[in-house]
Order: sequence, then structure tokens, then C-alpha cells
Amino acid sequence: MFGYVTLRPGAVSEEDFKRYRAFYCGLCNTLNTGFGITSSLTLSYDITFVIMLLNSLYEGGEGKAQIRCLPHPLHLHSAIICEATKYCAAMNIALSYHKLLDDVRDEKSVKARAALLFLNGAYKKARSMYPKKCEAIERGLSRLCELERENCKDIDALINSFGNIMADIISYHDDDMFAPALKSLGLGLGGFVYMMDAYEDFDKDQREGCFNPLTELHQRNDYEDKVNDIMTMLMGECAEAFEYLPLQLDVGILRSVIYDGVWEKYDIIRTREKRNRQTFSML
Amino acid sequence: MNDPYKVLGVSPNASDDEVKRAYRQLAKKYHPDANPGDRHAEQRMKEINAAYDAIINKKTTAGQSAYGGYGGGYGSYGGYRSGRAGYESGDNSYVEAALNYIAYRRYAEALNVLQNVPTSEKNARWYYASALANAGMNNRVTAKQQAERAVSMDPTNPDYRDLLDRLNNPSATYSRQRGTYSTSVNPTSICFGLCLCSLISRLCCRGGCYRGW
Repeated sequence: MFGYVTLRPGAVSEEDFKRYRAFYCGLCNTLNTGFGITSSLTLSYDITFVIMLLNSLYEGGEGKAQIRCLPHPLHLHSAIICEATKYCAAMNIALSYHKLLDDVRDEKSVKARAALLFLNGAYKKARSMYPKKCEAIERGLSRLCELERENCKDIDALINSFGNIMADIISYHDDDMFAPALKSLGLGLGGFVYMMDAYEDFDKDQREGCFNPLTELHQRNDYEDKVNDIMTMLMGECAEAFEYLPLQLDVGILRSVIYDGVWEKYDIIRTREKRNRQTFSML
Repeated sequence: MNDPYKVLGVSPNASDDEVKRAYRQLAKKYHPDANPGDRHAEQRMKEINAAYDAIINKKTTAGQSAYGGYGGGYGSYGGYRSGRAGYESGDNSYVEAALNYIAYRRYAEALNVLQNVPTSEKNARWYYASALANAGMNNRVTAKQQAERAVSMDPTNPDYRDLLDRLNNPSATYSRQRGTYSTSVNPTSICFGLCLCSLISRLCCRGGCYRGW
């Protein structure tokens, strides 16, 4: 994923932040021990959110440990592992793996090919654990690539293509009482991530002649407003589904991510652009 | 169905949090995993789930949400049972057919049928039906555009306005909640502030002097 689904620094209490961090450490630890050390290439806070969400919903018990790790060998710190950790680790590997496959195919990226070699073993393991989910991720990303290759102008189709992948991942049990709400949450969140990635990379994609779903929209005078509108609609759907769930544990952290944290990158980009524009207009 | 509040053991004035807490407590007790093979527990769990859905769904987009599997389909537009998607005289038969499909949540078929209408005949009602179908398919950008079109073509029709309001509801609710997280910076207000500053400084520096910066 793309580093958008996170907490804003200072947004929650120190205690809450430590807990959030502990789930992240637990994820890292699970990747290393369960899937091989190179799989921690895929480590991100985004999937940590999903772990905490599923843990809050299903409350299947948490294992806490004090660990040392390679990047932080001097201090012991807390790691929390729960039932969702292994699942989310596998899903993240699958997502990264198939994304890299597509990068190799489309952009012939050498970096991607190298990264793939590292992830091969980890992906094999993930696929043996969750074959159906991995297949769904593969199909979903394939479909998205196809749409992008055809220069698809239907922004809903593009957004939902990625959103549906997230919907599949987040609905841990496909058919329980909360599956529809989790799918809706995933659809909105995934759609937002897709839009944010497109928004952030717009200039770079233009320069390099790469596909960007916002190309048509960018020609409008109200581009910024429209983008904000769409992303708000997507988070609106995500939040509505979130509020349907009977969550209690860590609800403050999860809400902070959904209502505030996801906009951090967006705010940084907007502030930088305004500053650049102001500088230019004063020259 | 029994009174959902009684099933969960909460007062009708209970907050969302209280309802959720009550649900979790009961679910722990009657969950099938905790009571394997217990028919009575299974039945109770069904009632508890139904009661939860009945209460919480009412509190989200005015009954439009259908997450509970009791409405089926994910997304807020799973069930357009409310809203008068009824027929009006002068309705194109394709639009009629589409609205019928929509009532049964067959949104892809509805969209297919609507394609048969030539562009010159796409009236407000066509846009309304198309917006409903697209909303059902989670094509939110198109749905909103089309609902806006329907309203602009026929501003007096309450159904069209109602649909647009419902489509905007999640964004409005979200923005309100987002506003309570005051750490977020509002780019629009910065922009306005900077523009104002640059305008003022340009007016002041008419004489070509270079002030300060």
C-alpha cells in the first residue's frame, strides 16, 4: 500500500501511539519469522490499520512480547500479535507481489524484477495459506492493469477496481454478519488510496508518460475541488461502514486514522503547492 | 420481530456505544463458536444480530444502509425500497423497466436498459434512474453527476433533490466529524489567506519598490 492510511503525528495519546506501534512491530516480527526476512520489504502502517480493525471487531486475543529487532537492536520494545496479524501479513505480501508483477510487465522495471525475486518465497507461503484470497488479489490487480492499459476514462471503474481488492482483503470472513459492512469499508478506503496515489503522482506520471486516472479531471478549472469531493465521498462511505461495526477496542485510534490521519499526505501536498504558487505570484 | 431494544437489553434512548457494548456482551455469550451445536444459542444469535442491525441501521443514512445482510449487497444503496421510484405518466418504457430492475436491486440490467435511450431523449427522469442504478453499483462519481443533472433539469421534483441529498449525506456526515479533528489544516483557508496577502502586497508595491522580502 502507499503509506496513506496512518495516524497523524501527535494525533493520539502516547499510550495509544505505543499500542499502534506495537501492532506494527508485531506485523514486522510476523513477516520476518513467518515469511522470511525479505518479506519485511512490504511492511507498512496501512496494513497495521487493518490488523487493528479486525482485532477490534473479532477480539480473538492478543499475544504481547518484548522484542529486539535489527533496526532497533539496543532497546526492547513491545510487539502485539493477534489472529489478524498473520492474515494481514500474507495479504500485504500478496498485494505487493502482484503489484510488482504488473510493474515488471508494464514498465519492464528492473527494480521490480529484483524485488520480485526477494518476495517469491514469501508469496508461495502466503498463497498456500490463503489461496482464494490471493487469487482474488491477482484477478483484481490484473483487471486494474487491463483498464489502465486500455486508457480507461471511467473513474468509477478504476476506483472500484482497486477498492474491490481492499474489500476482499478486509472482509476476513467472507460471509459473516459484518462482511457487507467490511466490504463497503474496504471499497471506500481502497478507492481513497487509489485516488491519493494518483493525486500524488500526477506530475511524475505526466512527465514519464504513464497512465494516470486523473488526466481528464486535471483539465478542469475545479480540479482540486473535484478531487477533494471524490476522496471525501470515498472516505464518507468508508466511515459510514466503520460506524456500523460494533467496535470498542482501540476505537479512538481507528477513528483518528479514518477521519484525520488519511489526509496527512494530502494536506502536505496542498500546503506545498500553495506555498509554491504564492512564491511564484510574488516574483 | 421483537422489540430490538428489548432483545439487546437497552433503553430506546441508548447511545450507539451502549448498543454496541450490549451487542458484544450478548454475542460473547451466544456466539455459535462458544456454543457448538446449541440450537437455542443459534436462534438467539440470529435475533441479536437482527436487533443490532435494526437499531444501528436506523442511525446511519436514514435507513438506506443495508450492511446487515438483511438488505443484502454492500454499500448504502443496497435497498431502494423507500423513495418513490414509482412510475410517472410520460415515462419512457425503458426508464420504467430500469426503475423496476432497480427496485429488485438489479442495477447492471437497469443500466443496460437505459443505454437504449438516445441522448436527445435523456430527460431528468432518465438521469434520475441512471443515478439510482449507478449508486447501486457503487459508481458514486457518475451517480452524483447524474443526480445533479436530474435536479438541474427539473429543480421542482422532490425525488431528485432527495436522491442528491442522500448521495451527499455520507460526505456531509464525514466532513462534520473530520472537522472535530482540529489538527487538520484547511487548504482552502490557507489559499484564501495567501491570495489576500499577495493581493495586498501587490497593491502596496505599485511604485515598483521592493519591500522587505
